[in-house]
Amino acid sequence: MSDETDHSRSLVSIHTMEMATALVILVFATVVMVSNYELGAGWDSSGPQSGYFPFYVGAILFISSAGILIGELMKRKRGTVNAASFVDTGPFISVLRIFIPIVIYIIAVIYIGIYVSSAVFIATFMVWLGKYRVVVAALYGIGIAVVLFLTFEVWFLVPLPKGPLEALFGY
Amino acid sequence: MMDSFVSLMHGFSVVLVPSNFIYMLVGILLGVLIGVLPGLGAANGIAILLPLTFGMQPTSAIIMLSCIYWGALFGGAIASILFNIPGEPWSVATTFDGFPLAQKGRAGEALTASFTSSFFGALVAVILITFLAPIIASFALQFGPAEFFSVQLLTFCSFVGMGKDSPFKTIASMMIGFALAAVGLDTVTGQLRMTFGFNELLNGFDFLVAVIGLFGIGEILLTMEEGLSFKGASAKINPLVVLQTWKVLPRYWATSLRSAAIGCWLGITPGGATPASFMSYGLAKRFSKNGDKFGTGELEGVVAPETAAHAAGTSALLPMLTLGIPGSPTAAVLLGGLLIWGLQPGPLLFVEQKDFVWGTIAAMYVGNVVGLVIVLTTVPLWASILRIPFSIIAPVIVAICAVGAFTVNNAMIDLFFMLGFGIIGYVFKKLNYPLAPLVLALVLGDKAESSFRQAMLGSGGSLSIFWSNWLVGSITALSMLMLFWPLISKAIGMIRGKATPVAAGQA
Repeated sequence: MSDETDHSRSLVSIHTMEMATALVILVFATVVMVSNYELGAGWDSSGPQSGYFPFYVGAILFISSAGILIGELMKRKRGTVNAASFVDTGPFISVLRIFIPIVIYIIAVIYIGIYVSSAVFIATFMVWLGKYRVVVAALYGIGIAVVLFLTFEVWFLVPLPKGPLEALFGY
Repeated sequence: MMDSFVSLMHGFSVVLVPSNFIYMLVGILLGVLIGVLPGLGAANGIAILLPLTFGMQPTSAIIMLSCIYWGALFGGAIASILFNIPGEPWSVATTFDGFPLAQKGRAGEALTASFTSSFFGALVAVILITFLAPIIASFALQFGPAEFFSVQLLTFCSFVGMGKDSPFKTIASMMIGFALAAVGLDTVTGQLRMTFGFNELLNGFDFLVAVIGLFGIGEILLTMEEGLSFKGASAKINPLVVLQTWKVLPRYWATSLRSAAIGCWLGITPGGATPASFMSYGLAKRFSKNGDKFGTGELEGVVAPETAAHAAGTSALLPMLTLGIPGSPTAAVLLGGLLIWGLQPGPLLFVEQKDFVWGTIAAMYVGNVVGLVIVLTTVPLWASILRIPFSIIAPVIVAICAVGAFTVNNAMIDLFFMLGFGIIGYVFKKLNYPLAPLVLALVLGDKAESSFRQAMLGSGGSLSIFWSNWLVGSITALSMLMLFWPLISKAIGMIRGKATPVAAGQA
């Protein structure tokens, strides 16, 4: 992984990312304010309405994200923008290398349960990024899944998502 | 004083029951493991294990979980010193001198110094808790909703005043926590808030899922980006090295005491262990005779941050136990545990749940002694765990996080929330948004809101209730001071800057 970082370019600058994040928060704050205003952010006979507290939370959030945005814009004006890289392409690909498998893993949990998914996830990852032999990786994956199974289903009696394979064994 | 002592003895009798002692050992071992592994920290480690304790006695559960915390505090140092990889954010400062020492082949000394100072820091904090907690609790018994809200206000304003991050970012992070806490059923009026027609949002966002996502998945993403390779120094500790180091350590008594004081202060006010460790490292560097050698492998440079971090981590439990206000994310998770076990955090705990409170405090003493012995004797084991390649550790931690997130509410949707929080954690960490205020707001959101509402109800909607008597008034005033501290300090700086134009350029 480290050999890629040397000759990779910046994907996005810190400044751009600051602006984008502050904008997302600003939109979120607006949603919070509007939805709670509609719910009732004032007083009625029983005291403060449901939207009272969250409305002001939204308002403060709005102000602070606006503050961050203005700060970044002022930096742009003064020419003191932090143009350093937020993430380079190489490291970002490294992040995706685990992020995408996590997404697939979580979707798989819904259909085939958490134990089989975990075993496959761990083994695949080991083979793919760790360059382990398939047999070794499979042993690790299955072993860890079995330990999880024994811990949760048998020892602590906490039921986790299960799929067709577990059903075959009567769970 | 005497009362505390008697209660503490009673606490020891609770802890030293064989079953509780075993929970304690399990907790410490798990904690060291969590502390050693990157991507798995005390906060998310405890969050993952919390659902497993639902069926346990609350006292046994808190003993186990708090010992995970002590273990993690010890464990963080191992990775820092041997591998130059801080296992926890508060052990970053430990790498400055710890790793150079290890490279010189003095890893044993560095580890001994670090464990011993951790222990010393914790001990000071626990003694403080033992004698201060009952006083604060009995004082807080007189609090009404307005006082409680103002104390919570102070907690949150302290983040702004004491944090080194941008105040806007601190406030934004905090408010996101409050907003997310408000999602779902409003328990007072029974109305739905911000669910936008999604049934999945009825129960709102669980802070445990948030912690697992923010700290667990977020940390994994960060670690992947950095592309860690583990190259460690060898880890051998023999009794002779331990004794020799212990002989040297008393020389640093001033640094130890100062660091413990900094740690206790930043732990009780929610500054947290991480700033405490940096601050005491900085001060030790300034005051030490060998200050200019710091960073090249000074034992004192290990003593300072470790003492402070452990003192801060421990004293963070003081406001949690007495006021129901956690001083750190990990304390927040433990607080969530109390609620789940059916205990009402706050000053009444000291009246109604003596076993629980004093058992917890006694477990701090015993847990740290046992922890010290365990880490001193088992360092090679943990070092070998760190040599397991990240391509195995990463997916296993992800799987453990997924299991933990699912068990919180047995809800599949929480896995997606976990992932979402993971992305937030990754971006926020990189942009220096502090995560602790978000977690604390998420935990305290409902309580803060209900005490705010009750206070407002009592006053008929007038904010003047928060200035209605000297107690609530002074807490509120202090909060405002904290909130506007960044502005105030800037103003002071400008005035001084005018007086001495030479210094102005440094800002």
